[in-house]
Amino acid sequence: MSDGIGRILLAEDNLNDVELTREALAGSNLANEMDVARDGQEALDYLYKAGAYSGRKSADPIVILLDLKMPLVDGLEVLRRVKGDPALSHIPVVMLTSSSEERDLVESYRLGVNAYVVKPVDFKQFVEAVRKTGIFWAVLNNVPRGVPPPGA
Amino acid sequence: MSRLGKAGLTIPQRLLLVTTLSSSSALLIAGITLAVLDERQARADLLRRRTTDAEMIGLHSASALTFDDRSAAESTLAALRVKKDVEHACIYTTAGRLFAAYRSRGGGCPATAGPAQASHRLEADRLVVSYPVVHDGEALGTIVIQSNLEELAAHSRRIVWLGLQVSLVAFAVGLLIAWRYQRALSDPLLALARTAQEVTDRKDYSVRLHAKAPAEIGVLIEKFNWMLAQIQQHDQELRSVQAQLEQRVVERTRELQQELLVRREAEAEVRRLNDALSQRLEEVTALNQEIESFSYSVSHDLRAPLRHVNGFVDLLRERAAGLLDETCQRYLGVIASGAKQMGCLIDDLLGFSRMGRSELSRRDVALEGLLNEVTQDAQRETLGRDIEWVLHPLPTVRGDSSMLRIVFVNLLSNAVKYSNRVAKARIEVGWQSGENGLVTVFVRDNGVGFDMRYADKLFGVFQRLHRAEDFEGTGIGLATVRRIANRHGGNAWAESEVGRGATFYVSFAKAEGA
Repeated sequence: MSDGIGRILLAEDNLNDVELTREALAGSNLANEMDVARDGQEALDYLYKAGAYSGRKSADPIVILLDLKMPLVDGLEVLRRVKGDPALSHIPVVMLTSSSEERDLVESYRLGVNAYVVKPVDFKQFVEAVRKTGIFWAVLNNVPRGVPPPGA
Repeated sequence: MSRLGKAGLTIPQRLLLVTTLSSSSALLIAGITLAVLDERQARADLLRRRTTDAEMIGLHSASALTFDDRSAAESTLAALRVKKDVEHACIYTTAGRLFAAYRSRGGGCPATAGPAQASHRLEADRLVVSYPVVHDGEALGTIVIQSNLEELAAHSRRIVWLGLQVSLVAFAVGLLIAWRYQRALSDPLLALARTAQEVTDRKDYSVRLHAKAPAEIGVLIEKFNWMLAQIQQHDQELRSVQAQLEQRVVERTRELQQELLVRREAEAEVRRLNDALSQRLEEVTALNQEIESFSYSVSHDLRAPLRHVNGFVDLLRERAAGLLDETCQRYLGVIASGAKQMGCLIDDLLGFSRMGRSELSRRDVALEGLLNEVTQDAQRETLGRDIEWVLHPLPTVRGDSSMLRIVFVNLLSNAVKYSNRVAKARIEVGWQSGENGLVTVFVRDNGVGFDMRYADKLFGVFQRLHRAEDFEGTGIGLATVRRIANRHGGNAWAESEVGRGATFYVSFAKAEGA
């Protein structure tokens, strides 16, 4: 199934959140297909196969889960770059954030985010949110097959 | 006086001239008339005397003629010596022959004018008188006497000389009288002219002419003074009005300057206040931005650890369910609910903070509709409880509808919460008019109530009058209510008695025109 679906890219600086997200996705067979970038710059390197990821062979992720607040380059900036690049803009992006600040929500949608999830304090709700989002975008998103992966 | 003289002679001069000319003319005419009459009289006298002389000589020489006694005739003629003006006297016979002659100077005898005829001939410088010598009716001859007119001329000269002297004296006397009399007329006129000039030159209308003058001049002076008095009065009135006007102008100018000064000070004060206000505004704006970024960090960073606590407690419960005893399980429960409670506190606190900063979108809000919606939600959540809702009609107010909704949500959820131990709860909502056009809405319940000593604490952030295990809550609801009321120009307060329910009041500005 993993071959058929493809990988998920999670950009998240907090290891606890990485682990919780992984746990939340564990029941959906998606966890093993998840790559983690620890900040916005690493996520961009991953996407552009630059820096530490210059030799990345894997296909582009089928969905990007972006934490809003990250060191170096924040989630909004990554979102802006992805959606501003015709080679990447087809990849669905989901914002995962602790904050329910309206201005972040508005800015994210202005930049073309596909979904916006406020991480609840309650873990069960968090699991539900992440699981639904991941599965929704991993399974139901209709990735255009005619688009070749960049650099291929 | 030179200006007055421009017209020619002065009044006194004219008066003198007229008087002098008229009196001189009269004197001259009279003098000439008298002289002419006197001349005539003198000539007539001379003629009469010579005629008498000739008659007398004729009487005395008649016998001499008769007897041809020439010497007798000549001695008779010689009697004429005493008459200085007689130049010649001759006696002619009827035949025209010279009979006798008398000569005081050389020259021939004058010819006879005619025989036996009394006649005379007046020439430029002589008078020739002829008279017949008659005796007993018989003409014997003619006597001719020639006189010069020197005596007559001397008389005429004397008369003219006398006339001149008399005229001179009369002229002098007349002049004196005229001069004296003209002063009585011209002095007041001159005084009038001087006064008029003085008034003109000095513009001094207080001058009066105190002069006595006869007849119309007196009237003229009187009227002149009257006119001056009128002018003076008008002038004084004019000056008084002018002075009042000037005084008004001065006062008004001073007032205006004062006002201007006050206004400038006020403007300077306004500017100063404005500057201070702008500075305060900048400070507040900066502060707000600081609070904003602070609360943003809080909302983002403070929730993450709580989520981790909660998440890993849940994971722990799943993985180690069989390994933990009941106490350990309870500990995990306490940890999880603590984290959850703290998440709620953070959310409420951020909401409260946002409430104070976010902008109000004011419009007319019908409180009744709002109350009905909130009440319906509350009724759904309290299904199964016996609550009597008493809802009075509510007015329309001016405000932010979403904030006003929060007010009702808080007040009604409090009323529901604190009346849950009463068998039959009763919640009443109504309103009354307050001061300054405020609308005061009240929410009354018959719940547990509270001690009025702590009434003010009720509206503080995180201030609670009940234990958490009795009534759950974060203690931020009423603080939010009061803040919203304050931002709508009103306030929030409460009345209660322990065990006898509570009434919460909240006031707002009324809608315009409502």
